[in-house]
Amino acid sequence: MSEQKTQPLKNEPLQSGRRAAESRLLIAALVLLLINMVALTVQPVKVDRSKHPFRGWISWIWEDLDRRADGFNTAILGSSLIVEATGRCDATYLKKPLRLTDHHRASYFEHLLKQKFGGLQKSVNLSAPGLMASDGYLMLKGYVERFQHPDLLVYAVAPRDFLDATVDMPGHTMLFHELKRLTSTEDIDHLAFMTPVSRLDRALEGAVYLYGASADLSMKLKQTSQGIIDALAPRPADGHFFGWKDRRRVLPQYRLAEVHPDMTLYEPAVEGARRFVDNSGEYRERYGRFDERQFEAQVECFRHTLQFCDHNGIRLVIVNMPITEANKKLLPSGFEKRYKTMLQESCHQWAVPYFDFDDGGFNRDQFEDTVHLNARGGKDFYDRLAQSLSHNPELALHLIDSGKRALAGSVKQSY
Amino acid sequence: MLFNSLEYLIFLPVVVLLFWAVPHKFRVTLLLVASYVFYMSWRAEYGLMLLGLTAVNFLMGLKLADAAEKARKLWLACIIAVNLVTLGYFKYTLFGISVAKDGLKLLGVNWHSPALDIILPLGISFFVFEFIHYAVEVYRGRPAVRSFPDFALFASFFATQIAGPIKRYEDFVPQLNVPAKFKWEYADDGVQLILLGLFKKVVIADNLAIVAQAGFSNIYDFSALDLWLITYAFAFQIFFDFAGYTDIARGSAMLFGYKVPINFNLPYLAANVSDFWHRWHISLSTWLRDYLFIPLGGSRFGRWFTYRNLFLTMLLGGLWHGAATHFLVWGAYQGVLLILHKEYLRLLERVGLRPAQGQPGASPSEALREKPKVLGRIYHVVSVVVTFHLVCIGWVLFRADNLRIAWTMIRKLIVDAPVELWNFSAAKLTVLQIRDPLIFPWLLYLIPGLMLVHVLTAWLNKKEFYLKPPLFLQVACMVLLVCVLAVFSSESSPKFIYFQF
Repeated sequence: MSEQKTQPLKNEPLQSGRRAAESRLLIAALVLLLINMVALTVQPVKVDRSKHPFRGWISWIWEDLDRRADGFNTAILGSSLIVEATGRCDATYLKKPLRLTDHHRASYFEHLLKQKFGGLQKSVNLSAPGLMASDGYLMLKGYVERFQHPDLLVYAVAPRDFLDATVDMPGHTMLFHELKRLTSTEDIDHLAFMTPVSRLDRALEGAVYLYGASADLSMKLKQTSQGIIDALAPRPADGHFFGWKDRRRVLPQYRLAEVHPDMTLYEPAVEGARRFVDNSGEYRERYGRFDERQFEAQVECFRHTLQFCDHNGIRLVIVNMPITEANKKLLPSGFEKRYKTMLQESCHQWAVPYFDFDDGGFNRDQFEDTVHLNARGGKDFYDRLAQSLSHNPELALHLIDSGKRALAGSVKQSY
Repeated sequence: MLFNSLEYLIFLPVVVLLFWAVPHKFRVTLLLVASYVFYMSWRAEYGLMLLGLTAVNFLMGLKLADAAEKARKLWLACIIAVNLVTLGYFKYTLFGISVAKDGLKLLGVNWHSPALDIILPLGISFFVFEFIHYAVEVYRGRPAVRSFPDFALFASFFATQIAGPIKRYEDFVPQLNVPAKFKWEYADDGVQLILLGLFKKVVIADNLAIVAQAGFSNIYDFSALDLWLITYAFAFQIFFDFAGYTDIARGSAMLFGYKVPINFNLPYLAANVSDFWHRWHISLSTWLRDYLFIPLGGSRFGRWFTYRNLFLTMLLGGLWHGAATHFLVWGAYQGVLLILHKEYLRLLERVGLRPAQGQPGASPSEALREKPKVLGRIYHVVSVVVTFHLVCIGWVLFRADNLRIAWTMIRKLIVDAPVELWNFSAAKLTVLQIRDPLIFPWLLYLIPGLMLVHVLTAWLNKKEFYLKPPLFLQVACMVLLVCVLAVFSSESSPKFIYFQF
C-alpha cells in the first residue's frame, strides 16, 4: 500500500456508432432463437424420464414397479404417516428388516384383505414422505398413465398434507420436481405455482429447451464427466471407500431429497420396547404460518384426485390418519374443524367413502412420535381399515370381485 | 433479489427499457425508485433506514461544504461518527457483547448479556464507506452534491448497492447528468459482462463452494494434500464469486451507460502481497489507502510509523469483512505480510539487488530482469507461486468457522503436507475417492486450469485483445454462456459470499 494514487481504474472505452444489425447481443439472440426452435422440434436428448439426476423417492417407486411383474388391485397413497406405519407394521409382520426403497406394498394389509375378501389381493404403496395433496394427485396420475388402474385406492390424508409452512408453494416440493418429469402438470400448474415469477419459471421450462431439459442434460453431462474423470484420475484401489454415509456427514445439505436404501430401513419391533420421540418443534414450524392461498390450492388438488378417480373408474376411500392430541394442539386455531369439514364435504360431493380414524381410537402408545404410528399402531390401523372396508357392503363386494378377477388373471397368466 | 435469480432477470430489462424510454430528467428518479424496490424486496423497513441515513449524510454534507473553516472538522467528525455508529450498531454490537462476555468470564464475572436480535442490513458496509468517502472528499475541498436524488442514487444504485464496487462520487455523480442516448455498445458489453459474471458465479464458484464447505467443516476427514486442494478451491471460489458479482454489477450499470470501477485485476498473478492488494478488491483497498492509511499518517513519519499504519489499516480492513476474531486475525496476517514484504525489499536494497526507493526498476523481478532474462522470469514465477500460497494461507483464516479450526488446518498445511508429499500415495487422497459430487476428483485438473485462465487472460490483455475481439467470437461466447447457464441455473444457487459483509 503506497500513498501514490494508483492509475485511474480501467474501463474499456465504448466504441460508438454500432448499428442494431451489428449488435452482438441481437445476433446472439437470433442464433439462440434458432437453436431453441430446432431443439424444441428435434428434442435431441432422449432419456428415461423416470430417472432423475439423483435417486429420490419417486424413482425408487417407479423402479420397483417396473420390476414387479404381478398386478395390483389396491393402491395406497399418502405421506410419511402411512409410509412409516406400513414400514414398521410390515417389518414386524414379516419378521425381517425391510428397506422401503424396494418394498412398495403393504404386506400385512394384503394378508387382511385376502382373509376378508378372498381371491388374489395385491397392493402397491405409492406413499412418499412429504407428499402433499398436489403431489398425491400427480403421483396417482403418473402411476395410472404408466402402469394400471387400481381397483381400489386408499388415500390416507392428514392436516400437514394441506398446510406446511416449510413449503412456499405446491410446485416447489422435491416430490413435485420428480413427478413433473413423469406426468403433465398442466392442469394444476395454476395451483402449484402461486407467484408470477414461479409461473414464468414454469413457462420458461416449456419454452426454452435447454432450461426445460436441464435435468436430462445434467445427467448426460455427469455420465460423460464420470467416464472422463475415471480415465484421467482413477480411484485408487487401496484407498478407503468414501460412501454415501461419509458424504451425508461431510455434506449434510447436498441433495437433501436423495433417498438411499439405508435411510429407509425398518426393523421388526421388539416386544416391550417403547420409545416416543417428541417432534413438536418440527410441527410447530410446519403449522406455524398458515397460508390461506396454499391451503385452498391443496384442497383444489385434493379435489382433482377425487375427480380423477371418478373419471377413471377407480374406487376411492379417504382415510383421515390419526395424530396425537399434542400434535393437534399445534394446529392453527379452528383449522381441524375446517379441515375435517372439507374432507367430509368433498367426499360427499364425489360419493367417496370417508373413514375418520382420528376419532380418539388411537392412543399415545401406538405412536412413534406425535404423528407417526409405530409397529403396533400400524397393525391396528390396518386392522381397522380392513374392518371398515368389510363393513361397507359396496366396497366389500367390489374387493371380493377384484380378488376373484385378479386370481383368474394370474391363473390365466400362469398358463 | 439476487443477481442470479429470475426476479432480477425480469427486473433489470424492465428498468433498462423504462430508463431509455423516459426523458433524461426522469432517469435519476426512475433509477432511485428501482433501487429502493430492489433493496426493499429483501426487508422493507431497512429501505427506510437507508433513506434516513442518506438524508442525514446529504444534509450534513451540505453543512460541511458551506461551513466556515473552523467548523468543517467538526462536521466531518459528526458525519464519520454517524456512519460508524450505524455500522457499529448493526455489525459489531453482538461481536462486542460476546468479546466483553468472554473477557468478563476470564475475570470471573458471569455477565448475562442482553439477547439482541440485530439483522445486518445488506450492503451496509459498502454504502457507509461511500458516505465516509464523500464526506472526506467534501472536507478536502471537492464540491458537494446539491441534488438529493443524485446523492441518494449514488448511495443506493441497485447494481452496486449490496456488494460494491465501492464507488467514488466524483466519478459516478457526473455521469448522471449526461443526457446520454442509447447505444448498442451499452447493451452488447453490458449483457456480455452479466453473462460472464453469472458463469463465474453459477458454474465455477457454486461448484467449488461444495468442496470448500465439505473441507472446512470436516478437516479431519482429509489429508494435508487434500486440504491444500480444498484451500485452492476456496481461493478460486471466493475470487469467482466476488468477481462474478462485480461483473454483473458493472454489466448492469453499463446497460444504463454508467461505468463503475473494476474490482479485480488477475489477483492470483500478483508477484508479492503489496501487488496482490493492488489487484484484489481494488475499490476497497484504495478506499482503505485513501481514508484510513493516509489519514493515519501514511508513510510520512518513518519506517516504524508506516508499519504501524499498515498494520492498523489491514487489521481494520479484516474487521470490516466480518465481526469475528478470525477476520481480525486475517487482517493482522495481511498487515504482517505487507510489513515483511517491505522489510524484504529493504534487504534487497542493502545487498544491491534492488535500486534504492523511487528509482526505476524498483521491484525485485524488474531488477533481476535487468540481469539474465531467464533468471528474472524464474524469480517472477517463484514470486507468484509463493505469493499465491501466502494468500491461500490467509484464506484459511478467512474461511474457517473459528480460529481453532483455522490453526489446525494451517498446521496440517504447513507441517504435514511436506511429509505427505515426500511419501506421496494417491490412495491417501480423499478427493480421488469421492465420486459424487464429481467436482472433488476434477479439482486435480480444475485448479491448474483456472490458474492457466489467469495466465491466458494476462497474455490476452497484454495483446490488447479485449479492445477489438472478433465479432464471431463475441457472439459465440454469448450463445455458449446462455446455453451453459440455462442448463446449470435451474437448481437454486446460493447467495454471493460478499453479501454477508
